[in-house]
Amino acid sequence: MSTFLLEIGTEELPADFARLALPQLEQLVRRDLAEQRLSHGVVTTTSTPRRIALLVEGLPAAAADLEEERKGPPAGQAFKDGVPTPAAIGFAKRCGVAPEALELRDTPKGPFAFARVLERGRATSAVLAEHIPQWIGALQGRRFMRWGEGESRFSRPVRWLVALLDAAVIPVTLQGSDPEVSAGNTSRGHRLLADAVTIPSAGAYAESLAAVGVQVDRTGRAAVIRSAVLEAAAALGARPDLPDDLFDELTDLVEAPLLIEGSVAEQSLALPPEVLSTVMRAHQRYVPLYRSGAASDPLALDARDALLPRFLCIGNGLPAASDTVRRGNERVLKARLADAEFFVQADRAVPSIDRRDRLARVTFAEGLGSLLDRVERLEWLTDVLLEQLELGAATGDHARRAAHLCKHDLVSQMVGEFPELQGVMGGKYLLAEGEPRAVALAVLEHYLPRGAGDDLPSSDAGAVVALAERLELLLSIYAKGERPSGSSDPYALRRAGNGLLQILWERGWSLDLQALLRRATAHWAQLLPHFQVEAPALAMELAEFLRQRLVSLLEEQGVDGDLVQAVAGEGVALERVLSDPADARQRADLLAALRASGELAGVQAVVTRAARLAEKGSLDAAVLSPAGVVDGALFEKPSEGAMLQVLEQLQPIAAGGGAARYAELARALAASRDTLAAFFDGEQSVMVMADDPAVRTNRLHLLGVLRNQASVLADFSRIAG
Amino acid sequence: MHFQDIIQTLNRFWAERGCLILQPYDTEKGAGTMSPHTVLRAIGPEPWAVAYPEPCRRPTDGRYGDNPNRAQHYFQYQVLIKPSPDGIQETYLASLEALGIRAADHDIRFVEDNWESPTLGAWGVGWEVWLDGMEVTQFTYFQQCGGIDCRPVSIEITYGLERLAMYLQDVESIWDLSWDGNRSYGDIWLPFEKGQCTYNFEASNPERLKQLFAIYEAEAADLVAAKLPAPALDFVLKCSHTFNLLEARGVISVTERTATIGRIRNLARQVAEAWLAEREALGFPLLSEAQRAALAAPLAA
Repeated sequence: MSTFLLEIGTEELPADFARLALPQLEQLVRRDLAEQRLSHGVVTTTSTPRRIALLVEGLPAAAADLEEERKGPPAGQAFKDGVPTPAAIGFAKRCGVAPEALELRDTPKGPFAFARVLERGRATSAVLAEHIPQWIGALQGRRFMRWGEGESRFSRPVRWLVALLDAAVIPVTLQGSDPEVSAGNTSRGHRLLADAVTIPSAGAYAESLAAVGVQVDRTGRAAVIRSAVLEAAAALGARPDLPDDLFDELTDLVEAPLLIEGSVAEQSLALPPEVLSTVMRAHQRYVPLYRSGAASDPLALDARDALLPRFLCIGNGLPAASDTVRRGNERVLKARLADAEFFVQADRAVPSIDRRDRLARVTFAEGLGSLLDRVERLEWLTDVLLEQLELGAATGDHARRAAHLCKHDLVSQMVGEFPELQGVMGGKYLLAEGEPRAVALAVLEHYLPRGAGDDLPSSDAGAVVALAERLELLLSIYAKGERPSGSSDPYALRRAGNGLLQILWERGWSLDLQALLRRATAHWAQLLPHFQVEAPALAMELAEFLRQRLVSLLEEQGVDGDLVQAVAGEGVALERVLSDPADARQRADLLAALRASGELAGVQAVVTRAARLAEKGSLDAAVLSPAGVVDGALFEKPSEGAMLQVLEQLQPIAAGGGAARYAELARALAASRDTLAAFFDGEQSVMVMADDPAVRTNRLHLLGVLRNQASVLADFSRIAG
Repeated sequence: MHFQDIIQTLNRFWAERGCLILQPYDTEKGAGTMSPHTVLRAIGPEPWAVAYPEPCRRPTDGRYGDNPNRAQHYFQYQVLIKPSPDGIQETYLASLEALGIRAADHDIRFVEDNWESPTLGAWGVGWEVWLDGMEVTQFTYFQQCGGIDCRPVSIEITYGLERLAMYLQDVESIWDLSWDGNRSYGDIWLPFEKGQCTYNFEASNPERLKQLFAIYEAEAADLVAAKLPAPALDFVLKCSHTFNLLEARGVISVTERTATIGRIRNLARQVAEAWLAEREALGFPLLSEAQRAALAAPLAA
């Protein structure tokens, strides 16, 4: 059995290319080897910044032979008087056999001519030689390039190629590369250790590269980096801030990882921790070190309590140079942080309220005026929200003040340089200026959640302004006539809609979104007359959009699709869903819990049976009380009276308020199962579709009221059995 | 190594490797790329190899000379070679060695950084080169210029001279760099820096700048129409710089910004097309006979 090595040597690849390319390469190779009937053992792929490599173990010397039988023309057409016809000769030729070798055999459709074909498996090296250029050519990635005078396109110029079957070079040339690249057994080592290195055989790949300073196994390299970082952090009593994307990048930026620990100038810790860690991670790919166990204040302007004056970085140089490398990195960080210090000083020289005025100079979006106009609309919404939510005077004051100031940092130097710190800087500056902490926190939190899985506002005032912020965006962009479609959602409206609902849910706030949208769209139509929007139609469209958000959020959070539909789907009145999204959420959770405990089926059986028949009647879906629609004088059997009793018990629950009523309703519905069974089946049962129209209507109304009462909880017709 | 010695060393290094050593181009620009020696020569089939220092102006980067790392006027050292040769990274590392930066003593890395100039309708892929974590050079394989596909592909190497010098001289401020061992960078440039910042941020007259922009734009459009790409480029560069001055005054809204950049790009595209047509009409005089024959062959066939 043989081992195949393919190494595509390149100039330094983008750090994320390997993660995109390696699975593609493995898939292509597996597919083609299977197609070529080449069995194989383990397939591994790996990469460093300068190479993509593939190893296939357990290859035979040649692909398996293919023996197959091919069906030709019917016997009658293949032979005339035992002599092969032109049809048979042609068939035999296509199969590569002599006409005499054709066999006649019976099939369900009569006798046919058959050829037994033997296709010899090709030599492994020939198969590989043929496919290598195709594999390389088929890899996909972002922003491919051409180089020199060549036609090839790749992530970065291909400079060498190693293709070995054990110790034998597979002769392959990459056409279109400038200069042309032919496969050999010569790879390249770490830039500082060896220009050329011979790979004596495919199996010796990793050790041959290790000898010239390259740790080619990506997983091994990652493990070395991980443990070096953890160890160094533990020694300092720190928690390393090493998110996955940074970790991947560090792994893909070096061939020989070398941990370097540097220090941060003490005076730089006067900067906010978020600034330090952003500069370290995003600009320098350093690992910041947080003090273990330190409570972090998101409004702190100073990092002394949060961060250690140290950082870790993963170098690719020689250990002997570590000291120079460390000093160099410390210098760069110092310069970058000096820049940040300049920004903070410049920003703090201007009161935040003055920056708010400058928002007038920044366009928000075509036709929507400046950022200041946006802030003013957002303030209007904050007032309306406070009116509807009734959160008390203090929260109201804080939320209004925060809404007034919430975007000031968009024209600060710091956010100009670090856009990801919007809100964070704004809040910190405000606290430092003496604004109440609740105001500063609300400004910081009004951007939350920034995406799926992000934190939600921790304060009521922050949550109110966050709601206003999202509503303003939705109303304005919809008024402008833009809608999210497919993958195109440039203003991230879906994210805004999701955030809005998540905040309401998390706060447990009941908010009549339908009423709010009606009022706000009328206001928007006045504010932005040039869009000529029809307020009611706009309100409807936004409501429908939010319903879709609610449905998909519930599904994303693991509620079964049919339960989501039963609570908020097309079959449920929009009014019902949007007049209180928190209520929809509670009902979805209740249904999910009932399903989990096995109780849902019982409730559903009752309701479905009643609803199916009730369809034949004409009772308005809004009627929740039997009084006035059911006449006891028309009863013929006690089971009807028992049904009426059930409805009378359910009525106050269904018509009542509060979230607790849903569980109560579900319990009562389940408990009515026997009553309903007696109504339909057995001695006491009645014929619903009685001949007497008055009796019939009366019985249909009994069922209709039950259906209506149940629909307070959910549209049971949507629930799968 | 003094600042002027760095330029001289790089001149000598790249001259020995077949580059023409040219001088800065006399129009304000935001980057060495915008010199016609790069932005026009990168277009079309003719080979080209050039190196030159280039002063750059970025009005919004000015800090009145108060910031040790930022200035609105600074220098780049620019190399452009077409077609991009094999081993160019190693050649570049050798140029650092010529400056006294031995690779083995440092951690030098090529980290993905793709370049795009919306105003020039140009983009390429490449790296920023990190020298112990500091970005000292930008490497770009030009893929498109003025909206025209670059065939063959040029490699552009842009050294940040002040950063390299600060590293080499181990100083913490641009203004403390030694220019020649006698005068500092600050001695020479600080008076200009302060005055220019005052102009860029305070004294310029945005109304007149807008008028200038309109005039330059009209001039560039006329020159493009007259099939005069070289002077047309000058006026495109003037448009670009005037636009940057307007930005420094904060009077360009986001929407206006996008629209204006679009107009400059459109002009740059027309300049590129006119340049290519002009060179073609001349029979691409810098092509060797063999290249000319190769280029003509597919057409004849």
